[in-house]
Amino acid sequence: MKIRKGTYVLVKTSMFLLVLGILLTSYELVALSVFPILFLLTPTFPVRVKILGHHLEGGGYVGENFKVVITMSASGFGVLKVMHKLPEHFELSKGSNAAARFVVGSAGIRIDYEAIPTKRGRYSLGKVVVQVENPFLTGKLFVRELEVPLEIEIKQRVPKVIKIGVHRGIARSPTPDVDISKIGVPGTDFREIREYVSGDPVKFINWKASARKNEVMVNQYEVEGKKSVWIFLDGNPYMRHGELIRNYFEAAVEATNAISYYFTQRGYRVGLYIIGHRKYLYPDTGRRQFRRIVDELIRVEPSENVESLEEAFENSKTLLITYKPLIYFITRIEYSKPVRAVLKASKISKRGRKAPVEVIALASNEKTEEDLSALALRILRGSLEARIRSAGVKMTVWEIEKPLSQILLREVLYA
Amino acid sequence: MRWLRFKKSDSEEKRIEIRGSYLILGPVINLLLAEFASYQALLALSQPPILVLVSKYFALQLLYPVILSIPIILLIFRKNPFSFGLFYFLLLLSAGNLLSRSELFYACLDGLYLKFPEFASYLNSVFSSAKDVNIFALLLNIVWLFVLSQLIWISTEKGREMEERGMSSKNLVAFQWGFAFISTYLIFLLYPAVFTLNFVFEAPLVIVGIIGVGVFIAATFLLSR
Repeated sequence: MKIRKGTYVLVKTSMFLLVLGILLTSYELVALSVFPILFLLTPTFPVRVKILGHHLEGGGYVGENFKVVITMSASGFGVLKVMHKLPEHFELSKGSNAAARFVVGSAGIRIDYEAIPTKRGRYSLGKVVVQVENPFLTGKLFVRELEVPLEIEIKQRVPKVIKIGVHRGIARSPTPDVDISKIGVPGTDFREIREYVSGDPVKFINWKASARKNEVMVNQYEVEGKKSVWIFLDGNPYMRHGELIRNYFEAAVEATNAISYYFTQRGYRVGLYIIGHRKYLYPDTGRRQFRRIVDELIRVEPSENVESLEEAFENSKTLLITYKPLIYFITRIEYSKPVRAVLKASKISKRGRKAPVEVIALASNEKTEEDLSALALRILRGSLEARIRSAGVKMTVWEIEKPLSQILLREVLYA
Repeated sequence: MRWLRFKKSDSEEKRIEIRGSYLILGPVINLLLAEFASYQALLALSQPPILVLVSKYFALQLLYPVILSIPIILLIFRKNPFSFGLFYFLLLLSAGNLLSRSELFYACLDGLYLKFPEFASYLNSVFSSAKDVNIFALLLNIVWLFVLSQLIWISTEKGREMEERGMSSKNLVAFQWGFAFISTYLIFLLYPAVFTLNFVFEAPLVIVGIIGVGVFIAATFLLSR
């Protein structure tokens, strides 16, 4: 048990007087030794605290100020301290999230502050910690929590990506800007006649062909719409490296946000696989799909379990074969060693065509001391970059301290 | 517990410093209390038998400025002007008068008598003639002032801590000081009345011992809460 300073001081004084009194056989000193102890007998009286109102204004994005006002009433006797508990990733910018009062009878307390969230996520601001102690700051400290129904969702601002590097071309394009989708709304261009499968619209049944073959046949048309994009976001434990607010994983989330926003806005189907969590979102289009991705990215944190990129590829292979998307791997290549996964991904297309795959390799330009391990990592990264590039896969190295849009735009210019 | 965390800019620190400027009153009040307590200790010192003993060798008044300057020196060195060390020192200064009624002291004199009979007799004559000198009131003053100063010091430190965290503690600290003064003063007024009552309590020693153990256990329980 931790002895409070006030208690310690009073006990120490009393003990000194008592010991001196016993040594000198002095009645006066022994009698005086009771004096400090009397203050320890002061109990901590209960103080009732009620939350009268609360208000949350602003916020929503990383780095954007929000304001909180909580009004309370207290009744009782003692020293009261109240604190609105803030999550770890919040910084106070104005005012204080705590208040203290000497309560005699009844008193009103107001907490009024502004804070800045520094990390994405869905946070509960629902706890107000109340501390009550006696006026001498001795004795028991009563601590309890009150509930306030306050919640805040902090999103990462999507970096404005003007253009992502594309190479136009029929089917061989490494990006799907003008490619024809494998699935989607059927158009008017006839492709082939095939056997009926459950779910095919009746209007597509080719009655003449069905009569000839003695089984139900349907016309297959080329589908309209654009191709899909599939993002592999690496959420393995090594992505956690860096500062709490800005680390590799946060940079990877930012890149995923930017790419998915760019493509969903242009009508592509965007799917997501979070490596390490074995979690995926089916490809879909539009704002709703972007919202789904953002919701997933708000919650996600680096995993405790390791999943290789190859495993991730195998887990989503069926979908990749169905959609034949442009595949993005966002990872730290020196840890994930993605060469085999990238090669496998680029071979999912039939007829010998290479599927479009792109690797966004996260790096840092920190000026660290060049020790042996750093040198080994640098050499390994260089070797992996060379192997990926020699396999004909596009690779973008992003130093996470630089803005993402600048890197992607540079890729366009160089292309 | 994490109350808050934010980087304080220079202007912010300056603002906190200005806002918490009233806290300088804490050490000043403590300095005044220490000076009063030192004066009380000097009053106790300038009573027989210590007065008789010391004035033979040098003027006791020479000690006054030395003792009264100790709290000021402590304040200059940014320490609590009424520290534990000063309290011990003041009590030891006053304790000389308590020797005249101390059984232990007379037992020591008996021992001294075997080697230095003349010196022991002299001491005995000085101290035994001062058995009626009562310095309880002076000691009570010192203890009261010390306890009050400690309560003020603790609340000042808490106040400074809160100001550093961005909380305004002006009212809280002022109330605490007021409450500490009123409550300690009330006890100070009632204390002599309670402890000068003449109880005649006759009980077998075993019962007294049992009561003593009971009080000890009760005190332990109270302190552990």
